[in-house]
Amino acid sequence: MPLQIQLLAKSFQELKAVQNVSFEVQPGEVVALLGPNGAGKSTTVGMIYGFIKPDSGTVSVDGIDIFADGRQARTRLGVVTQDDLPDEDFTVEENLRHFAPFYGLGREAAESRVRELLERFSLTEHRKKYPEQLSGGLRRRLVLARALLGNPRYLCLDEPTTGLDPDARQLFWGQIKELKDRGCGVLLTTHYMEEAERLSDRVILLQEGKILETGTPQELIERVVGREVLEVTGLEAPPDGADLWSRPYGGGLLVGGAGIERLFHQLADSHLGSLTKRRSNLEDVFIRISGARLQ
Amino acid sequence: MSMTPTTPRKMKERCIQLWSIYLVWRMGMRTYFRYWAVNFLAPVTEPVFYLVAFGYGVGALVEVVTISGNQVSYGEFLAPGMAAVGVLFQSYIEGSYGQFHRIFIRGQWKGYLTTPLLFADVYWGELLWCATKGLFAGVATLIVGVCFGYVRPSDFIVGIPVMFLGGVAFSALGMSSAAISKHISQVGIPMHLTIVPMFAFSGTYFPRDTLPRGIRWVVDLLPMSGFVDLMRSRFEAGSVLLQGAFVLIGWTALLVLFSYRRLYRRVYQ
Repeated sequence: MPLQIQLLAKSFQELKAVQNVSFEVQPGEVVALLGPNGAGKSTTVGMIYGFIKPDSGTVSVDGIDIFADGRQARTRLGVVTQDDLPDEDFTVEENLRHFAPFYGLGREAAESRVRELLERFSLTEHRKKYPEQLSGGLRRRLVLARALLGNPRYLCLDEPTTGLDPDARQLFWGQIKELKDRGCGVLLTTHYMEEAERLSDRVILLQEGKILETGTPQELIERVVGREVLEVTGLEAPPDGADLWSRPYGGGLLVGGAGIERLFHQLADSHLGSLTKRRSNLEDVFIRISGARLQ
Repeated sequence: MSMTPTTPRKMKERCIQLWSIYLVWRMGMRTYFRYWAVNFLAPVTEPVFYLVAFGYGVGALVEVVTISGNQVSYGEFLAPGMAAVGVLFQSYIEGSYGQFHRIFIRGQWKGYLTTPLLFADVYWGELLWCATKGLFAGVATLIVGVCFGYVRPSDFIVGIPVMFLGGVAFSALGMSSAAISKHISQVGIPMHLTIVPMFAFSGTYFPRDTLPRGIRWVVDLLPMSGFVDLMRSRFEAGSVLLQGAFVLIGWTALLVLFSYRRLYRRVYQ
Protein backbone atom coordinates (compact mmCIF):
# COMPACT_ATOMS: atom_id res chain seq x y z
CA MET A 1 0.00 0.00 0.00
CA PRO A 2 1.25 3.51 -0.75
CA LEU A 3 2.10 6.45 1.43
CA GLN A 4 -1.20 8.23 1.06
CA ILE A 5 -1.89 11.88 1.78
CA GLN A 6 -5.50 13.01 1.56
CA LEU A 7 -6.84 16.56 1.76
CA LEU A 8 -4.25 17.82 4.22
CA ALA A 9 -4.87 21.36 5.41
CA LYS A 10 -3.11 23.53 7.96
CA SER A 11 -3.39 27.19 8.90
CA PHE A 12 -1.20 29.24 11.21
CA GLN A 13 -3.52 32.02 12.39
CA GLU A 14 -4.43 33.88 9.18
CA LEU A 15 -1.89 32.08 7.00
CA LYS A 16 -3.23 29.11 5.06
CA ALA A 17 0.03 27.15 4.92
CA VAL A 18 -1.37 24.00 3.27
CA GLN A 19 -4.71 23.80 1.48
CA ASN A 20 -6.27 20.41 0.79
CA VAL A 21 -3.17 18.71 -0.54
CA SER A 22 -3.57 15.10 -1.73
CA PHE A 23 -1.07 12.74 -3.36
CA GLU A 24 0.48 9.29 -3.07
CA VAL A 25 3.97 7.86 -3.04
CA GLN A 26 4.35 4.28 -4.26
CA PRO A 27 7.14 1.91 -3.13
CA GLY A 28 10.20 2.42 -5.34
CA GLU A 29 9.02 5.86 -6.46
CA VAL A 30 10.71 9.20 -5.80
CA VAL A 31 8.28 12.10 -5.53
CA ALA A 32 9.54 15.68 -5.20
CA LEU A 33 7.55 18.47 -3.60
CA LEU A 34 8.95 21.48 -5.42
CA GLY A 35 8.21 25.04 -4.56
CA PRO A 36 9.74 28.32 -3.37
CA ASN A 37 10.36 29.11 0.31
CA GLY A 38 7.04 29.42 2.11
CA ALA A 39 5.17 27.22 -0.39
CA GLY A 40 4.12 24.80 2.38
CA LYS A 41 6.59 21.99 1.65
CA SER A 42 7.98 21.61 5.15
CA THR A 43 4.54 21.98 6.73
CA THR A 44 3.25 19.21 4.46
CA VAL A 45 6.15 16.92 5.36
CA GLY A 46 5.82 17.85 9.05
CA MET A 47 2.21 16.67 8.92
CA ILE A 48 3.20 13.51 7.06
CA TYR A 49 5.51 12.34 9.82
CA GLY A 50 3.14 13.50 12.51
CA PHE A 51 5.06 16.45 13.97
CA ILE A 52 2.54 19.05 12.87
CA LYS A 53 -1.10 18.33 13.58
CA PRO A 54 -3.22 19.11 10.53
CA ASP A 55 -6.50 21.02 10.74
CA SER A 56 -7.99 18.36 8.50
CA GLY A 57 -6.97 15.49 6.26
CA THR A 58 -5.31 12.12 6.73
CA VAL A 59 -1.91 10.52 6.23
CA SER A 60 -1.58 6.75 6.04
CA VAL A 61 1.57 4.68 5.73
CA ASP A 62 0.85 1.20 4.40
CA GLY A 63 -2.76 1.76 5.43
CA ILE A 64 -1.85 2.87 8.99
CA ASP A 65 -3.07 6.32 10.03
CA ILE A 66 -0.08 8.29 11.33
CA PHE A 67 -2.19 10.29 13.78
CA ALA A 68 -4.08 7.28 15.15
CA ASP A 69 -1.11 4.91 15.40
CA GLY A 70 2.06 6.96 15.05
CA ARG A 71 4.26 4.27 16.53
CA GLN A 72 3.33 1.65 13.95
CA ALA A 73 3.21 4.12 11.08
CA ARG A 74 6.68 5.49 11.80
CA THR A 75 8.23 2.02 11.91
CA ARG A 76 7.48 2.06 8.17
CA LEU A 77 8.52 5.67 7.61
CA GLY A 78 12.04 7.09 7.87
CA VAL A 79 12.31 10.85 8.39
CA VAL A 80 15.11 13.31 7.78
CA THR A 81 14.16 16.81 8.88
CA GLN A 82 15.50 20.09 7.53
CA ASP A 83 17.65 20.83 10.58
CA ASP A 84 19.74 17.68 10.89
CA LEU A 85 19.64 16.41 14.42
CA PRO A 86 22.39 13.98 15.33
CA ASP A 87 22.95 13.75 19.07
CA GLU A 88 26.07 15.84 19.70
CA ASP A 89 26.95 13.91 22.88
CA PHE A 90 27.51 10.66 21.03
CA THR A 91 29.83 9.46 18.28
CA VAL A 92 28.60 8.55 14.82
CA GLU A 93 28.44 4.88 15.75
CA GLU A 94 26.71 5.58 19.08
CA ASN A 95 24.16 7.81 17.37
CA LEU A 96 23.12 4.81 15.31
CA ARG A 97 23.48 2.21 18.05
CA HIS A 98 21.52 4.22 20.65
CA PHE A 99 18.68 4.99 18.22
CA ALA A 100 18.36 1.40 16.94
CA PRO A 101 16.21 0.20 19.89
CA PHE A 102 13.67 2.96 19.11
CA TYR A 103 12.94 0.98 15.94
CA GLY A 104 12.50 -2.25 17.88
CA LEU A 105 15.91 -3.68 17.02
CA GLY A 106 17.45 -6.02 19.57
CA ARG A 107 21.13 -5.89 20.45
CA GLU A 108 22.41 -8.28 17.76
CA ALA A 109 20.11 -7.00 15.02
CA ALA A 110 21.12 -3.45 15.94
CA GLU A 111 24.83 -4.23 15.77
CA SER A 112 24.59 -5.79 12.34
CA ARG A 113 22.28 -3.02 11.04
CA VAL A 114 24.64 -0.32 12.36
CA ARG A 115 27.64 -2.00 10.69
CA GLU A 116 25.73 -2.29 7.42
CA LEU A 117 24.65 1.36 7.45
CA LEU A 118 28.12 2.63 8.42
CA GLU A 119 29.51 0.77 5.47
CA ARG A 120 26.78 1.70 3.03
CA PHE A 121 27.12 5.40 3.81
CA SER A 122 30.95 5.32 3.95
CA LEU A 123 30.87 6.32 7.60
CA THR A 124 32.96 3.43 8.95
CA GLU A 125 36.17 5.46 9.10
CA HIS A 126 34.30 8.30 10.87
CA ARG A 127 32.46 6.08 13.34
CA LYS A 128 34.41 7.28 16.39
CA LYS A 129 33.97 10.97 15.56
CA TYR A 130 31.44 13.28 17.16
CA PRO A 131 28.91 15.02 14.89
CA GLU A 132 30.57 18.42 15.42
CA GLN A 133 33.73 16.97 13.84
CA LEU A 134 31.87 16.05 10.64
CA SER A 135 31.37 18.07 7.46
CA GLY A 136 27.84 19.05 6.45
CA GLY A 137 27.68 16.20 3.93
CA LEU A 138 28.76 13.59 6.48
CA ARG A 139 26.26 14.87 9.04
CA ARG A 140 23.51 14.51 6.43
CA ARG A 141 24.67 10.99 5.68
CA LEU A 142 24.59 10.16 9.38
CA VAL A 143 21.03 11.48 9.74
CA LEU A 144 19.96 9.60 6.63
CA ALA A 145 21.57 6.41 7.94
CA ARG A 146 19.77 6.91 11.26
CA ALA A 147 16.43 7.33 9.50
CA LEU A 148 17.04 3.99 7.75
CA LEU A 149 17.72 1.99 10.94
CA GLY A 150 14.23 0.50 10.87
CA ASN A 151 14.54 -0.40 7.17
CA PRO A 152 11.49 1.76 6.30
CA ARG A 153 9.29 1.30 3.26
CA TYR A 154 9.07 5.07 2.83
CA LEU A 155 11.41 7.93 3.45
CA CYS A 156 10.57 11.62 3.98
CA LEU A 157 13.41 14.02 3.26
CA ASP A 158 12.87 17.69 4.01
CA GLU A 159 15.28 19.81 1.92
CA PRO A 160 17.97 17.14 2.29
CA THR A 161 20.75 18.86 0.36
CA THR A 162 20.30 22.49 1.40
CA GLY A 163 23.70 23.88 2.37
CA LEU A 164 25.68 20.98 0.91
CA ASP A 165 28.51 21.50 -1.55
CA PRO A 166 28.05 20.09 -5.08
CA ASP A 167 30.12 16.93 -4.41
CA ALA A 168 28.22 16.11 -1.24
CA ARG A 169 24.96 16.76 -3.06
CA GLN A 170 25.90 14.36 -5.89
CA LEU A 171 26.81 11.70 -3.35
CA PHE A 172 23.52 12.19 -1.54
CA TRP A 173 21.60 11.88 -4.81
CA GLY A 174 23.39 8.60 -5.49
CA GLN A 175 22.21 7.28 -2.14
CA ILE A 176 18.61 8.28 -2.83
CA LYS A 177 18.73 6.48 -6.18
CA GLU A 178 20.07 3.40 -4.46
CA LEU A 179 17.21 3.51 -1.97
CA LYS A 180 14.72 3.77 -4.81
CA ASP A 181 16.32 0.77 -6.49
CA ARG A 182 15.86 -1.18 -3.26
CA GLY A 183 12.12 -0.45 -3.42
CA CYS A 184 11.93 2.39 -0.90
CA GLY A 185 9.38 5.10 -1.70
CA VAL A 186 10.94 8.54 -1.23
CA LEU A 187 9.21 11.86 -0.71
CA LEU A 188 11.56 14.82 -0.82
CA THR A 189 11.02 18.52 -0.61
CA THR A 190 13.38 20.81 -2.44
CA HIS A 191 13.66 24.19 -4.01
CA TYR A 192 16.44 22.96 -6.30
CA MET A 193 14.87 22.25 -9.66
CA GLU A 194 17.91 20.25 -10.75
CA GLU A 195 17.50 17.99 -7.76
CA ALA A 196 13.83 17.42 -8.51
CA GLU A 197 14.52 16.85 -12.21
CA ARG A 198 17.37 14.39 -11.69
CA LEU A 199 15.96 12.40 -8.80
CA SER A 200 12.24 12.26 -9.08
CA ASP A 201 9.82 10.09 -10.98
CA ARG A 202 7.10 12.58 -10.26
CA VAL A 203 7.09 16.24 -9.32
CA ILE A 204 4.43 18.09 -7.38
CA LEU A 205 4.63 21.84 -7.82
CA LEU A 206 3.48 23.66 -4.72
CA GLN A 207 2.77 27.33 -4.17
CA GLU A 208 1.00 29.06 -1.30
CA GLY A 209 0.03 25.68 0.09
CA LYS A 210 -1.72 24.49 -3.06
CA ILE A 211 -0.72 21.95 -5.68
CA LEU A 212 -0.25 23.80 -8.99
CA GLU A 213 0.68 20.88 -11.23
CA THR A 214 1.86 17.31 -10.98
CA GLY A 215 3.55 14.90 -13.38
CA THR A 216 6.91 13.47 -14.39
CA PRO A 217 9.55 16.18 -14.87
CA GLN A 218 9.64 15.63 -18.66
CA GLU A 219 5.88 15.48 -18.97
CA LEU A 220 5.48 18.75 -17.08
CA ILE A 221 8.14 20.49 -19.14
CA GLU A 222 6.67 19.42 -22.47
CA ARG A 223 3.07 20.03 -21.45
CA VAL A 224 3.51 23.38 -19.76
CA VAL A 225 6.42 25.16 -21.47
CA GLY A 226 7.59 23.08 -24.42
CA ARG A 227 11.12 21.80 -25.03
CA GLU A 228 12.83 25.16 -25.51
CA VAL A 229 12.43 28.71 -24.25
CA LEU A 230 13.98 32.09 -24.99
CA GLU A 231 15.56 34.42 -22.44
CA VAL A 232 15.29 37.92 -23.88
CA THR A 233 16.21 41.36 -22.56
CA GLY A 234 15.19 44.65 -24.17
CA LEU A 235 11.81 43.35 -25.31
CA GLU A 236 8.66 44.62 -23.64
CA ALA A 237 6.36 41.88 -24.89
CA PRO A 238 6.40 39.22 -27.60
CA PRO A 239 4.41 40.02 -30.77
CA ASP A 240 0.65 39.46 -30.49
CA GLY A 241 -0.90 36.45 -32.14
CA ALA A 242 2.43 34.68 -32.59
CA ASP A 243 1.49 31.66 -30.42
CA LEU A 244 3.84 32.78 -27.67
CA TRP A 245 3.64 33.28 -23.91
CA SER A 246 5.97 35.33 -21.74
CA ARG A 247 6.77 35.93 -18.08
CA PRO A 248 9.10 38.42 -16.38
CA TYR A 249 12.49 36.75 -15.84
CA GLY A 250 15.46 38.50 -14.25
CA GLY A 251 15.77 41.84 -16.04
CA GLY A 252 13.95 40.57 -19.15
CA LEU A 253 11.43 38.04 -20.33
CA LEU A 254 11.13 34.30 -20.49
CA VAL A 255 9.34 33.47 -23.74
CA GLY A 256 7.98 30.10 -24.80
CA GLY A 257 5.38 28.53 -27.08
CA ALA A 258 5.18 27.10 -30.57
CA GLY A 259 6.32 30.37 -32.20
CA ILE A 260 9.70 30.77 -30.43
CA GLU A 261 11.72 29.46 -33.40
CA ARG A 262 10.31 32.19 -35.66
CA LEU A 263 10.76 34.87 -32.95
CA PHE A 264 14.34 33.72 -32.36
CA HIS A 265 15.22 34.19 -36.04
CA GLN A 266 13.44 37.56 -36.19
CA LEU A 267 15.31 38.85 -33.15
CA ALA A 268 18.65 37.23 -33.98
CA ASP A 269 19.25 39.67 -36.85
CA SER A 270 18.02 42.96 -35.43
CA HIS A 271 17.60 42.72 -31.65
CA LEU A 272 19.87 44.96 -29.52
CA GLY A 273 19.36 43.22 -26.18
CA SER A 274 20.59 39.77 -25.15
CA LEU A 275 18.94 36.69 -26.58
CA THR A 276 19.41 33.07 -25.47
CA LYS A 277 17.64 29.95 -26.65
CA ARG A 278 17.93 27.02 -24.27
CA ARG A 279 16.33 23.76 -23.16
CA SER A 280 13.41 24.27 -20.80
CA ASN A 281 13.51 23.07 -17.24
CA LEU A 282 11.23 22.67 -14.26
CA GLU A 283 11.84 26.20 -13.08
CA ASP A 284 10.41 27.46 -16.38
CA VAL A 285 7.34 25.35 -15.68
CA PHE A 286 7.05 26.94 -12.29
CA ILE A 287 7.55 30.43 -13.66
CA ARG A 288 4.93 29.96 -16.35
CA ILE A 289 2.36 28.65 -13.89
CA SER A 290 3.01 30.90 -10.93
CA GLY A 291 4.81 33.89 -12.38
CA ALA A 292 7.45 33.47 -9.62
CA ARG A 293 10.93 31.97 -9.50
CA LEU A 294 11.80 29.01 -7.32
CA GLN A 295 14.81 30.43 -5.50
CA MET B 1 -16.91 -10.46 24.23
CA SER B 2 -14.40 -8.17 22.60
CA MET B 3 -12.25 -8.25 25.75
CA THR B 4 -10.31 -11.37 24.77
CA PRO B 5 -8.58 -10.05 21.62
CA THR B 6 -8.27 -6.45 22.89
CA THR B 7 -6.63 -7.06 26.25
CA PRO B 8 -3.44 -8.80 25.05
CA ARG B 9 -3.00 -6.10 22.39
CA LYS B 10 -3.37 -3.35 24.95
CA MET B 11 -0.99 -5.19 27.26
CA LYS B 12 1.54 -5.41 24.44
CA GLU B 13 1.14 -1.70 23.69
CA ARG B 14 1.62 -0.88 27.36
CA CYS B 15 4.79 -3.00 27.47
CA ILE B 16 6.13 -1.28 24.34
CA GLN B 17 5.36 2.09 25.93
CA LEU B 18 7.16 1.21 29.16
CA TRP B 19 10.14 -0.04 27.17
CA SER B 20 10.16 3.16 25.07
CA ILE B 21 10.08 5.31 28.23
CA TYR B 22 13.00 3.30 29.55
CA LEU B 23 14.93 3.86 26.29
CA VAL B 24 14.51 7.64 26.53
CA TRP B 25 15.45 7.56 30.23
CA ARG B 26 18.53 5.51 29.31
CA MET B 27 19.63 8.18 26.79
CA GLY B 28 19.66 10.68 29.65
CA MET B 29 21.69 8.28 31.79
CA ARG B 30 24.14 7.70 28.97
CA THR B 31 24.70 11.42 28.50
CA TYR B 32 25.09 11.86 32.27
CA PHE B 33 27.71 9.14 32.59
CA ARG B 34 29.60 10.41 29.57
CA TYR B 35 30.44 13.49 31.65
CA TRP B 36 30.28 11.69 34.99
CA ALA B 37 33.23 13.47 36.63
CA VAL B 38 31.60 16.88 36.11
CA ASN B 39 28.10 15.63 36.87
CA PHE B 40 29.08 14.00 40.16
CA LEU B 41 31.12 16.95 41.36
CA ALA B 42 28.31 19.27 42.49
CA PRO B 43 26.01 16.69 44.13
CA VAL B 44 28.88 15.20 46.14
CA THR B 45 30.88 18.27 47.09
CA GLU B 46 28.00 20.67 47.82
CA PRO B 47 26.41 18.62 50.61
CA VAL B 48 29.81 18.04 52.17
CA PHE B 49 30.45 21.78 52.28
CA TYR B 50 26.93 22.57 53.51
CA LEU B 51 26.90 19.87 56.15
CA VAL B 52 30.30 20.88 57.42
CA ALA B 53 29.52 24.60 57.36
CA PHE B 54 26.00 24.45 58.79
CA GLY B 55 26.62 21.38 60.96
CA TYR B 56 29.58 22.91 62.74
CA GLY B 57 28.58 26.54 62.32
CA VAL B 58 24.86 26.59 63.17
CA GLY B 59 25.14 23.30 65.07
CA ALA B 60 27.41 25.04 67.59
CA LEU B 61 24.66 27.60 68.23
CA VAL B 62 21.66 25.23 68.09
CA GLU B 63 22.40 21.94 69.71
CA VAL B 64 18.94 20.43 69.62
CA VAL B 65 15.90 20.90 67.40
CA THR B 66 12.43 19.72 68.37
CA ILE B 67 10.39 17.99 65.63
CA SER B 68 6.88 16.77 66.50
CA GLY B 69 7.97 16.55 70.14
CA ASN B 70 11.18 14.62 69.33
CA GLN B 71 14.51 16.23 70.15
CA VAL B 72 17.17 15.69 67.48
CA SER B 73 20.63 17.14 66.91
CA TYR B 74 20.90 19.96 64.38
CA GLY B 75 22.96 17.70 62.10
CA GLU B 76 20.21 15.05 62.11
CA PHE B 77 17.67 17.78 61.38
CA LEU B 78 19.75 19.32 58.64
CA ALA B 79 20.93 16.30 56.66
CA PRO B 80 17.50 15.13 55.29
CA GLY B 81 16.70 18.76 54.44
CA MET B 82 19.98 19.09 52.55
CA ALA B 83 19.19 15.91 50.62
CA ALA B 84 15.82 17.43 49.70
CA VAL B 85 17.58 20.62 48.54
CA GLY B 86 19.90 18.52 46.35
CA VAL B 87 16.88 16.86 44.74
CA LEU B 88 15.10 20.21 44.36
CA PHE B 89 17.91 21.94 42.50
CA GLN B 90 19.19 19.06 40.40
CA SER B 91 15.72 18.00 39.23
CA TYR B 92 14.53 21.53 38.59
CA ILE B 93 17.64 22.60 36.66
CA GLU B 94 17.65 19.45 34.53
CA GLY B 95 13.90 19.84 33.91
CA SER B 96 14.08 23.53 33.05
CA TYR B 97 17.42 24.58 31.52
CA GLY B 98 18.32 21.03 30.51
CA GLN B 99 15.03 20.32 28.79
CA PHE B 100 14.75 23.77 27.21
CA HIS B 101 18.13 23.13 25.66
CA ARG B 102 17.21 19.62 24.54
CA ILE B 103 13.82 20.56 23.14
CA PHE B 104 14.23 24.00 21.65
CA ILE B 105 17.94 24.46 20.99
CA ARG B 106 19.32 21.03 20.14
CA GLY B 107 16.07 19.66 18.75
CA GLN B 108 16.60 16.36 20.57
CA TRP B 109 12.89 15.75 21.16
CA LYS B 110 12.23 16.36 17.48
CA GLY B 111 14.88 13.77 16.66
CA TYR B 112 13.14 11.27 18.94
CA LEU B 113 9.72 12.07 17.54
CA THR B 114 10.80 11.27 13.99
CA THR B 115 11.30 7.68 15.19
CA PRO B 116 8.46 5.37 16.29
CA LEU B 117 8.55 6.98 19.76
CA LEU B 118 5.43 8.87 20.86
CA PHE B 119 5.26 12.17 22.73
CA ALA B 120 4.22 10.40 25.94
CA ASP B 121 7.28 8.10 25.75
CA VAL B 122 9.62 11.05 25.36
CA TYR B 123 7.91 13.16 28.03
CA TRP B 124 7.90 10.42 30.67
CA GLY B 125 11.38 9.20 29.79
CA GLU B 126 12.81 12.71 30.16
CA LEU B 127 10.78 13.49 33.29
CA LEU B 128 11.91 10.31 35.01
CA TRP B 129 15.48 10.96 33.94
CA CYS B 130 15.39 14.46 35.51
CA ALA B 131 13.95 12.92 38.68
CA THR B 132 16.71 10.30 38.66
CA LYS B 133 19.33 13.01 38.42
CA GLY B 134 17.77 14.65 41.46
CA LEU B 135 17.74 11.30 43.23
CA PHE B 136 21.48 10.90 42.62
CA ALA B 137 22.09 14.23 44.35
CA GLY B 138 19.82 13.28 47.26
CA VAL B 139 21.43 9.87 47.72
CA ALA B 140 24.91 11.42 47.58
CA THR B 141 23.89 13.84 50.34
CA LEU B 142 22.46 11.06 52.50
CA ILE B 143 25.67 9.04 52.08
CA VAL B 144 27.64 12.05 53.26
CA GLY B 145 25.13 12.34 56.14
CA VAL B 146 25.81 8.69 57.08
CA CYS B 147 29.54 9.47 57.17
CA PHE B 148 28.89 12.34 59.57
CA GLY B 149 26.59 10.17 61.69
CA TYR B 150 23.53 12.35 60.92
CA VAL B 151 21.71 9.74 58.83
CA ARG B 152 21.03 6.07 59.51
CA PRO B 153 21.38 3.56 56.65
CA SER B 154 17.74 2.55 57.30
CA ASP B 155 16.69 6.12 56.37
CA PHE B 156 17.36 5.19 52.73
CA ILE B 157 14.36 2.82 52.71
CA VAL B 158 11.89 5.68 52.96
CA GLY B 159 14.28 8.31 51.61
CA ILE B 160 14.80 6.83 48.15
CA PRO B 161 11.12 6.59 47.08
CA VAL B 162 10.35 9.96 48.68
CA MET B 163 13.30 11.61 46.92
CA PHE B 164 12.23 10.08 43.62
CA LEU B 165 8.71 11.45 44.08
CA GLY B 166 10.15 14.85 45.01
CA GLY B 167 12.36 14.61 41.93
CA VAL B 168 9.32 14.01 39.73
CA ALA B 169 7.55 17.03 41.24
CA PHE B 170 10.46 19.43 40.77
CA SER B 171 11.35 18.04 37.33
CA ALA B 172 7.76 18.69 36.30
CA LEU B 173 8.05 22.20 37.73
CA GLY B 174 11.24 22.67 35.70
CA MET B 175 9.60 21.31 32.55
CA SER B 176 6.67 23.67 33.12
CA SER B 177 9.18 26.54 33.21
CA ALA B 178 10.75 25.29 29.98
CA ALA B 179 7.32 25.02 28.38
CA ILE B 180 6.26 28.58 29.20
CA SER B 181 9.62 30.24 28.43
CA LYS B 182 10.18 31.69 24.97
CA HIS B 183 13.92 32.13 25.52
CA ILE B 184 16.38 30.27 27.72
CA SER B 185 17.03 33.43 29.75
CA GLN B 186 13.36 33.38 30.84
CA VAL B 187 13.70 29.94 32.39
CA GLY B 188 15.36 31.57 35.41
CA ILE B 189 12.28 33.69 36.22
CA PRO B 190 10.12 30.85 37.60
CA MET B 191 13.21 29.60 39.42
CA HIS B 192 13.58 32.84 41.37
CA LEU B 193 9.85 32.93 42.08
CA THR B 194 9.36 29.31 43.13
CA ILE B 195 12.57 27.40 43.86
CA VAL B 196 14.40 30.02 45.89
CA PRO B 197 11.44 30.76 48.27
CA MET B 198 10.87 27.03 48.74
CA PHE B 199 14.57 26.53 49.43
CA ALA B 200 14.49 29.31 52.02
CA PHE B 201 11.15 28.78 53.79
CA SER B 202 10.24 25.10 53.61
CA GLY B 203 11.94 24.01 56.83
CA THR B 204 15.22 22.91 55.34
CA TYR B 205 17.47 24.82 57.73
CA PHE B 206 15.06 25.65 60.53
CA PRO B 207 11.73 24.26 61.80
CA ARG B 208 8.74 25.97 60.18
CA ASP B 209 7.15 26.40 63.65
CA THR B 210 9.26 29.54 64.03
CA LEU B 211 7.48 31.27 61.12
CA PRO B 212 4.54 33.63 61.74
CA ARG B 213 1.19 31.84 61.56
CA GLY B 214 0.03 33.36 58.23
CA ILE B 215 3.30 32.63 56.46
CA ARG B 216 3.46 29.18 58.00
CA TRP B 217 0.00 28.35 56.63
CA VAL B 218 1.10 29.22 53.06
CA VAL B 219 4.52 27.60 53.38
CA ASP B 220 2.99 24.33 54.63
CA LEU B 221 1.20 24.02 51.31
CA LEU B 222 4.41 24.20 49.23
CA PRO B 223 5.61 20.94 47.70
CA MET B 224 9.06 21.37 49.24
CA SER B 225 7.51 21.50 52.75
CA GLY B 226 5.73 18.19 52.23
CA PHE B 227 8.90 16.74 50.77
CA VAL B 228 11.12 17.88 53.67
CA ASP B 229 8.62 16.54 56.22
CA LEU B 230 8.58 13.14 54.51
CA MET B 231 12.38 13.12 54.44
CA ARG B 232 12.30 13.47 58.24
CA SER B 233 9.85 10.58 58.61
CA ARG B 234 11.93 9.08 61.46
CA PHE B 235 11.12 12.07 63.65
CA GLU B 236 7.86 13.53 62.33
CA ALA B 237 4.37 12.69 63.63
CA GLY B 238 2.00 10.60 61.51
CA SER B 239 -0.37 13.53 60.88
CA VAL B 240 2.50 15.69 59.58
CA LEU B 241 3.62 12.90 57.29
CA LEU B 242 0.10 12.39 56.01
CA GLN B 243 -0.23 16.07 55.24
CA GLY B 244 3.24 16.06 53.62
CA ALA B 245 2.34 13.11 51.41
CA PHE B 246 -0.94 14.74 50.41
CA VAL B 247 0.77 18.04 49.53
CA LEU B 248 3.64 16.45 47.61
CA ILE B 249 1.50 13.98 45.67
CA GLY B 250 -1.07 16.68 44.87
CA TRP B 251 1.56 19.09 43.55
CA THR B 252 3.26 16.31 41.59
CA ALA B 253 0.00 15.42 39.82
CA LEU B 254 -0.77 19.07 39.04
CA LEU B 255 2.70 19.89 37.78
CA VAL B 256 2.93 16.75 35.64
CA LEU B 257 -0.43 17.50 34.06
CA PHE B 258 0.46 21.13 33.42
CA SER B 259 3.94 20.46 32.01
CA TYR B 260 2.69 17.60 29.81
CA ARG B 261 -0.04 19.73 28.26
CA ARG B 262 2.07 22.85 27.79
CA LEU B 263 4.99 20.96 26.30
CA TYR B 264 2.69 19.05 23.98
CA ARG B 265 1.32 22.37 22.70
CA ARG B 266 4.82 23.83 22.29
CA VAL B 267 6.31 20.79 20.57
CA TYR B 268 3.39 20.15 18.21
CA GLN B 269 2.47 23.42 16.56
